[in-house]
Amino acid sequence: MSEDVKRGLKAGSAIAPTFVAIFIGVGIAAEVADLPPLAALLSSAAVFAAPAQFAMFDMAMQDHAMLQVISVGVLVNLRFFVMSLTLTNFFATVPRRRIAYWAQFVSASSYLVTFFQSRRNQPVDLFDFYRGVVLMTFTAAMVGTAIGIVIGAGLPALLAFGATLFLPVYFSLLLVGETRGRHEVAAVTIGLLFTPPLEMWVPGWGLFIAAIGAGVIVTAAKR
Amino acid sequence: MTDLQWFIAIGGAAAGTYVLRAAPFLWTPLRDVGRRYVDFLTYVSFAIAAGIVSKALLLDGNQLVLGTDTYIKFAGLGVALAFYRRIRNIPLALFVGAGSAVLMRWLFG
Repeated sequence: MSEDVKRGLKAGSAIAPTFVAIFIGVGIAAEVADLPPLAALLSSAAVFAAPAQFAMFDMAMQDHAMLQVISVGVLVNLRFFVMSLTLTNFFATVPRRRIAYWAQFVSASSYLVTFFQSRRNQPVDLFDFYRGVVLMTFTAAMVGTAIGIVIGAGLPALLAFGATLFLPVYFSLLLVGETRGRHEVAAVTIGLLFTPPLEMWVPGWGLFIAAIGAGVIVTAAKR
Repeated sequence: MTDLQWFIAIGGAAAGTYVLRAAPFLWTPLRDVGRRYVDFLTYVSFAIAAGIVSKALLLDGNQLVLGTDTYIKFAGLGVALAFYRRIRNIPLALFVGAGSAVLMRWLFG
């Protein structure tokens, strides 16, 4: 295992508790929606996107047609397209056959942690680093789903509360350390202020809309 | 849904999601788009990270929540940021911030 994969594992370990907590929720939701345990685990491995999984389980419980369930699962994940588009700039020299496998694990966390690493002046193989983050977060997702299936809603509330804090606190610390210049500050401010109201207005899409809006506004202002 | 229908639904969603994830890496014209709009994508990345933070602090699902838990989350974040400013160590600041929030919730929650 290369040093950069180890660096990625270490960075991923900071957000692993949040991943476990979120996917415990997925496991519980799968139980409520009456999914077979194997299908619940498969959904975490193959879809690997908690918001989409929650949406699919919810629609299935409301007796929507299977095609609608699939469509919602895919549409909620549209943000991954933009994330992968960003990552192409860091993985330009990696053979496509290799990327074809690891692309399955693009998530907000694996993408953002790699993005922030790219901004540091360290000689790191970003693809290896990304693989390290993925190894940690994917394992956490599978462990979380399994725990959720087994224990149901029996997780102590205090533990669940603490676990969900790792992701926002970690990204706050990265933002404080890495945001440079007024344009990046403007993008962060727009994301901070507009994501919650947009999420309330267009559930599941607010984060994506606010981010694209921030990108358009700040790029236009810069030009 | 039956078990078989579940497996088909998961397979369909997984395949569609994989196309979204992999297409920019595997299709050359999209790689060029990524290179051309690197500034735009950088700002989008910052806004996504910021949005994840404010969403986690203020929302429960899609509902705005302003209660004791919210204030505790902000206090925990404040502790983490203050600690980070002093020692410049992200993992340590992370554990101190999250740990202090858990302690506050145990005391006041």
